[in-house]
Amino acid sequence: MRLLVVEDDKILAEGLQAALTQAGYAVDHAANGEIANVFLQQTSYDLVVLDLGLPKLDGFEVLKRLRSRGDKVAVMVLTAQDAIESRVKGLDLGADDYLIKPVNLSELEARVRALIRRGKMGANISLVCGDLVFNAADKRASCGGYDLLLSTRELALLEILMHKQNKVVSKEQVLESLCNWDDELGDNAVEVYVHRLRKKIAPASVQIRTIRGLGYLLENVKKSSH
Amino acid sequence: MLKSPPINKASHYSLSGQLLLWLMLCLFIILSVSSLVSYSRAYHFANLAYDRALLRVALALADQVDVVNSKVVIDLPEIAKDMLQYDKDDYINYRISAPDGSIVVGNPEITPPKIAFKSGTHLYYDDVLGNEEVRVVAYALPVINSELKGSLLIQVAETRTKRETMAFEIIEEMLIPQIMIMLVTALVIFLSIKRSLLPLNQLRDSLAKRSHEDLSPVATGSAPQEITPLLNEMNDLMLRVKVGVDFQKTFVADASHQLRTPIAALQNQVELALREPVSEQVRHGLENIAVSTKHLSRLVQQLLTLARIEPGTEGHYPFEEVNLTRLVQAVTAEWVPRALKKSIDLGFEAESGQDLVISGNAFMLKEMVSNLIDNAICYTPNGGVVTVALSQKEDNATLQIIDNGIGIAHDQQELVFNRFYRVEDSDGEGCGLGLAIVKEIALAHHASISIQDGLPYSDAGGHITYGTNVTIDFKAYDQQ
Repeated sequence: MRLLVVEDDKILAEGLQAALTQAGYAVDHAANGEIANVFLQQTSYDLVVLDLGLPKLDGFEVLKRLRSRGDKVAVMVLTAQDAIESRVKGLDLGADDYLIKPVNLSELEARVRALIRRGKMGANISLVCGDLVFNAADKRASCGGYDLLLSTRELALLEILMHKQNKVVSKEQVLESLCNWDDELGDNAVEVYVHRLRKKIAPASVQIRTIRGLGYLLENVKKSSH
Repeated sequence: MLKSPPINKASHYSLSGQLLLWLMLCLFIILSVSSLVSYSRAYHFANLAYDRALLRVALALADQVDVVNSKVVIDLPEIAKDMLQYDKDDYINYRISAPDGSIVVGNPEITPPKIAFKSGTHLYYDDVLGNEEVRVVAYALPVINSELKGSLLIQVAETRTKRETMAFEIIEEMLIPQIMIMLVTALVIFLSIKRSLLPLNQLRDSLAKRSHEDLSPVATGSAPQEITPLLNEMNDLMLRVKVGVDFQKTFVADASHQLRTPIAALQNQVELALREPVSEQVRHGLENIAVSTKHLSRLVQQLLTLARIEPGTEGHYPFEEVNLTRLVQAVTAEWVPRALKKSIDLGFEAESGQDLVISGNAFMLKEMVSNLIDNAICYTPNGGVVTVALSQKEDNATLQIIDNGIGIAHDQQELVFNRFYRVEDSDGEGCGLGLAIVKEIALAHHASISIQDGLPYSDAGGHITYGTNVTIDFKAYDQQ
């Protein structure tokens, strides 16, 4: 895996390079937009961490030229510009992620992993939470290597919870995912399915929390108790 | 928001009041003088008319006087006497005296005129008879063919009632139209002043309607010539203020941006260093640096937010219909993972099933709710409860963030909205700008903020304290 860090601040660049190297990637560094532009034409990278405020050629321009060449490399914008307009512009120009400085190293690493995974495998990925694994391609859930017997609706519910693990999934979102299948659902259908799913995944090291007035949240119990 | 400075009462006079006062004063003086002149003229003409009638009485008396053997004889029957003295309004007295001054007949109290006049002529003068003011005519009747030399003096005195009545009638007739004219004039003046000052009122209204951040120049087109220079100066001043404000804002925003990269570098370096095997002391130091970096990063973020939402930036943050219920739910959901790390039960409660819609800016409202929840989590100990509640009362939408944390002492509840103010002895991670941001945003939305006691919390010693309840009232949520 080869990554390019485009960042003009020497110390930040050094930090990013070090962290990503530690995470097992080969990392190049470009200190301005022109160098980045040259590097990107010469080398095929798996991911680019791109600052926007760059000397000589700004990040937007680097991104624009990159995409106009038809290069589909994953681009993660890492910038101090948090205005919505810049965010929209960045994403419109073809950035895959947009992070605001300063960013936590672990989060950066997680996002890099996610982007690379997406680039390599498309939607065919397994979602993992604790010892619970959900395979999106063949719609199968397993716990510690053993398959769990789940109905289609329970699988749909688990999928959305796994997708958004550690985040709140609202009742509306759950209902939407359940409604993809046939008939109308009653008022307490969500509660019913959540209750059933909880029972079935009880052996796993995860739990579905009910968040008052908001929805549900899937979390790794070991992680949260730590 | 700033309160307008108190206006010096002495200098606070009304232009229209002053104009009206002076014009009415002038009118009053003119009317008074003209009334006096009119009265004297009216009296003069009334006198003239009645004087002639009085002279006729004197002449009629003179006709009845004869001199026989050097003796003055008056042939005045009772009926003639009565007729002579009869008058509806006034008392008439007469006196006829001989050339030597001795009284022949009549009222002896009538005094002879002080001015000499020729025989055969008459003289009018004012006098006093008894206690009454009288008008007197004196006629000197020459004596012919007699041993008596000189002339008889015939005086007729009449009280002045009907003269005065007549003068008053005349003046009355003249004064009523004059007063009418004055009233009409006053009205016309009043209306024309009002009308002339109308552009000023319009100007005031247009300025009053402006939001405090609108520093665009005032249109001078419809303003009267007299105040155009004033408006020009004011526009000039607004321009200067705008330049200053813009500079300030750009500076804060730029500075915050510029600070982000070095902070990011610092944070990354500390995190990297913490991954290395280091001594306990170094680790402790690095951890402290990491915490401080986080605070610094948050402060910069808040400064930037504050600079953004400050008055004058509304152009960037237009108001539109915002589904407050959805927005608050979404923001609260974002904070759940952070709350769970502290084992805080963060939840949302809505009073009604219907979504509340207000006019506002989604970015600002998100910042506001975010800061409130952040604060609540900060100041609530592990295992606490934070509830974000929405309710509706008549036209108001009410947002409440209620916790059972350490609470805010009553004497500090007003102060917490000040920038950089921190609750005493707090070891939270806040940096004192969160509530200032909340206040600015609430102001921009014409919402009111209040702080009450939140939910009770019983500490290890069984001592019960109350958390915080921040309430934000959005007025007339379904209107503009």
